[in-house]
Amino acid sequence: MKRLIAILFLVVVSTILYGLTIRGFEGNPFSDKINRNLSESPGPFESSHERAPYALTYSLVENGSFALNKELADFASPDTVIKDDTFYIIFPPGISLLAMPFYNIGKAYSAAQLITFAGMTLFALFNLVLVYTISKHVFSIPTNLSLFSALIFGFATTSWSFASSLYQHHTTTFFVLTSFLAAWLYKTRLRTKWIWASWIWFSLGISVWLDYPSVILFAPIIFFMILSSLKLKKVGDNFKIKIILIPLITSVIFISLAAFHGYYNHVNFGGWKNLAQLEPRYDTKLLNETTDEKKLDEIAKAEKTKSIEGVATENQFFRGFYILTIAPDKGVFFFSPILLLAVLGIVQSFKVIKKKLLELITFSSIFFINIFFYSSWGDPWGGWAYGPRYLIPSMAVLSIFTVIWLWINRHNIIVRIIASVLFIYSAAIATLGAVTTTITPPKVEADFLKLKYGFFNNWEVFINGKSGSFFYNKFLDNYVDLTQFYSIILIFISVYGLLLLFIKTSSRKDGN
Amino acid sequence: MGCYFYLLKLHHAKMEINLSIKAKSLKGLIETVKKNISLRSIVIISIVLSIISTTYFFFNDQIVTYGDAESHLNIAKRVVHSITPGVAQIGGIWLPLPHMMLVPFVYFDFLWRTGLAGSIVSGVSFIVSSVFLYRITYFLTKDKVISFVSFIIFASNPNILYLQSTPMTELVLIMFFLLSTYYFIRFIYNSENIIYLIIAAFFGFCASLSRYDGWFLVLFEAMAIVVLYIGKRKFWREMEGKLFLFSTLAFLGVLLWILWDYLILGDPFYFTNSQFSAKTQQQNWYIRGELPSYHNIFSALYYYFVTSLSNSGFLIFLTSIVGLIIFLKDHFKEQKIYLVLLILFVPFIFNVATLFLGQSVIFIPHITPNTFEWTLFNVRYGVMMIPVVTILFSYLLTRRSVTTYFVLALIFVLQFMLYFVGYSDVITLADGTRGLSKAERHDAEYWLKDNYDDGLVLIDDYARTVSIVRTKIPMQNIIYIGNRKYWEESFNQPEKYATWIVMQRDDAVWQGIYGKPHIQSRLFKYFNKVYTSPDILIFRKIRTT
Repeated sequence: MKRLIAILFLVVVSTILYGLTIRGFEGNPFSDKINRNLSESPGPFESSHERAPYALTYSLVENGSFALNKELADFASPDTVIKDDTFYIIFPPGISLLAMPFYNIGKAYSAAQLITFAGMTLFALFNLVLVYTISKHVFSIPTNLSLFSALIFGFATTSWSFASSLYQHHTTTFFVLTSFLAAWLYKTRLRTKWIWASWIWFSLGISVWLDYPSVILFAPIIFFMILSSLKLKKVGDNFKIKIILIPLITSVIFISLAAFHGYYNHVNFGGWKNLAQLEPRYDTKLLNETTDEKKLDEIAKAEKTKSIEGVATENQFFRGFYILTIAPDKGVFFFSPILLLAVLGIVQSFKVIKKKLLELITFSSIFFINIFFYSSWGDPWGGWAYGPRYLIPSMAVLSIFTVIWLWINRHNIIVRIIASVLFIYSAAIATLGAVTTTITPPKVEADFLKLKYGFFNNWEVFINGKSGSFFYNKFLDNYVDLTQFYSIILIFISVYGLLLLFIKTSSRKDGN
Repeated sequence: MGCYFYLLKLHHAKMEINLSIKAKSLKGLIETVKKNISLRSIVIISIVLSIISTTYFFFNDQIVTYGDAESHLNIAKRVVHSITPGVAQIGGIWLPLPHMMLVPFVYFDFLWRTGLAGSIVSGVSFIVSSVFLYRITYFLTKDKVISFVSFIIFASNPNILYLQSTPMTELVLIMFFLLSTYYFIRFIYNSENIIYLIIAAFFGFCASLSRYDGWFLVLFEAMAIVVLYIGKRKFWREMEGKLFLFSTLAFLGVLLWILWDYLILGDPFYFTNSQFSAKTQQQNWYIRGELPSYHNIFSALYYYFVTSLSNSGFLIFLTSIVGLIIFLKDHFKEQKIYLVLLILFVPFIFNVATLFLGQSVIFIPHITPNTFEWTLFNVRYGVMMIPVVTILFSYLLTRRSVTTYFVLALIFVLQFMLYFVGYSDVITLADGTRGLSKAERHDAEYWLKDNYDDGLVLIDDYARTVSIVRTKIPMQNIIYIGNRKYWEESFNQPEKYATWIVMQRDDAVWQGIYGKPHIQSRLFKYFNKVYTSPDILIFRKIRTT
């Protein structure tokens, strides 16, 4: 019962915090006449990464079409492509499809944008519960630390900035975490294997619709499931090998979803392998600013010869690894130094939690694959975004390894003090992003444009008193200034975190 | 398979397959595999791999992609076929042994022109290297399977397979390096047996005459002998004899080379002072501000680390770092093992040192700034780390758990997938085909191939204006800087020997003939300009009836 209350408390607190920082405004964009620049920053549509999925959701609901009309294409640009004089968004349509019911509810209450964004917050909330559940049940970490892991992921990493928006990362993280949990349940439950295997394949199939590269994050989970399907034991003079065929049979779910996506590509882009990303980009800003016909021809030629080759290469790894780990504009450990403890957690957990070796290998592999792939990616920065948004699934993984390390070293008070300092610092950075803006230039572009980069840019927005928060702008602006708003949130998170951290930690139930 | 699986059942209700394997059969299978791991099997597998890869690169015309590859062939060829043949044609910059090993094969024009002469030498070196890598690993682990895995990782490395198909000298050095290291390790663990020391010294001598890396090898081996006896009661008495015995033979190569340079070229340090030396070439990069590791130890370490990683295979290399940690942990108190590691890591020390001192340069796209004119050059230096990487990778198998076996096997497969999907380049091949190491193929070369009839050709071979092996010109018809009498006289009287003159802007022939008005007028008096391009001119002597 106590545990249930603790989880409920976490969910309520998290809902409030996400609610306080949700970005948006009242009204139904496009349906109603809204007297404001939709793309202004800070705001819900400051990034084309948010505009494009929203435009598609609108198009699907209102026009019943995956194609965008000119007005929507201009709105979503430059994340728009053009195929046979028809506009599409550059991303897979999964997020927009998921957002449709929320859009419909919101539209009825003249809050289409707000509710659509809030719909995505549901996944962020689920993720907090999943982080807690994996920590508590898979790795048997005590309740207080498991709750702390959820708090780290939710409010001490830059995942917060993307919790109430149309970015795909929280949904991807949701499917990755549920799949891992399902794989663990597949291994441990005898009668419900069918359900868990089906869910894993379903998640993989859905991820094809959400974000192509995220598919590789499932590789260790699939391996985990396959290995759990093999049983070897020695009986007398023989080795008995049992191979459970459930993963093979249930894989039809993934095949169906992937095939359906292939059909979507075939209908819209002329071939099952033709992805929207490979079609020529429709960039209104570039078109308006480029007057040289020759240059336009060159751009058009380059856009028509795009290929998937070389999107991730070894040559790019070292630069990308630096950017994603410690660089001041994007590094995960620069924005959330609390996660540095997770590195120690990974190393120590293999020695201490020997009974869960396969789980540990699988779970840490999600992080390794995530960072390996995006370090090798041509654009490791993820454009103008607050922190390393591609690493949001890893932030969930690392949050758990952080508390594993804290549990291993639970008798050392210095460890907790260090963790407290790092947690408060990380939460301060995360909160700064959540109350201001998500569009933050990477250093390479900031230097060129003479702007500030990373959270230094957000600090400037903050001291100018600008916030993207709907709640603050609508209800609190006249009563408290942004600094007070920020401080209240940060103090609340810090107190909650410290309470969880300093509660006497019980022993793990299953030993080592 | 039937003998191992005697029962296969499909339970429809539970949707599972049950297999049963006789434990005896499985053990028998493992024993059979173990039994078949022998030096003979390693030789056979490496021969097969060598032939397959050489055939592949031969039919893709990639044996002589490196400019240096052709130069090695030509140096050897001139010993037997030249207007002034003889051992003096070996020159004074590149060390002589790889070229001497090429001589018997380049005698045959087909093997010279195709580069297969080099493939034979490098291929044999590859096979010997494989055997001795296996033997080193076996000596360190006393485990046949681990040693075999070490061999497999080495022999399947695409960079090794490519370089063993070419006339480049890396495989020759790896062979002598491993031979000397193997016997030196045997000596470390049995220092009373001086036969091991003498053999190690002999192969060290060979390495020191193959590439300059070999000089560091013998130096560090000599240092290791000193360290081996430190702390012993009769330190000097025990060490002195061994050190002198080793040094007399091991350093003989270095001494001979200095003597050779002095006698033939008049400067004992011609190999580093000459205008053709690596050091002089690095000066040009330095002037451009493109010598990033010069007097920057962190850059030197970083560059060679990344180069080693790229050559060894991304995942294999990172795993071998774990192997190194485990290896050190296992042998923490074993003083001799540090000496073994020191010797195995000599290539790393050598390359970092030469980068730091500005004696060499590496450009690798992973970390070289895009603002540099070239981002791919000399990356093959990293192959020298492959043997130690494979030993450390396979060492992890000493952790006898199914999980370890599975993870290592997975890493090995994934590494190949990274090559297959184009994530990782075969970096040595990339350097030869699109890096600065690539032999330029000018249009003039094709023209000359079609139009050359007969007569001597005056050409600055160092400028690599045309590829001699790809034209039909016999080597004995070439006049280059090494044919001193012909070369020098041609600069005063171009018509005296040469029927053809090939020059590239600012090369020695251009400067010596075209750049001097009075010689240029003589040139035009006796020669017709038969080929013109912005940078290359070809002249042919006017035919007299």
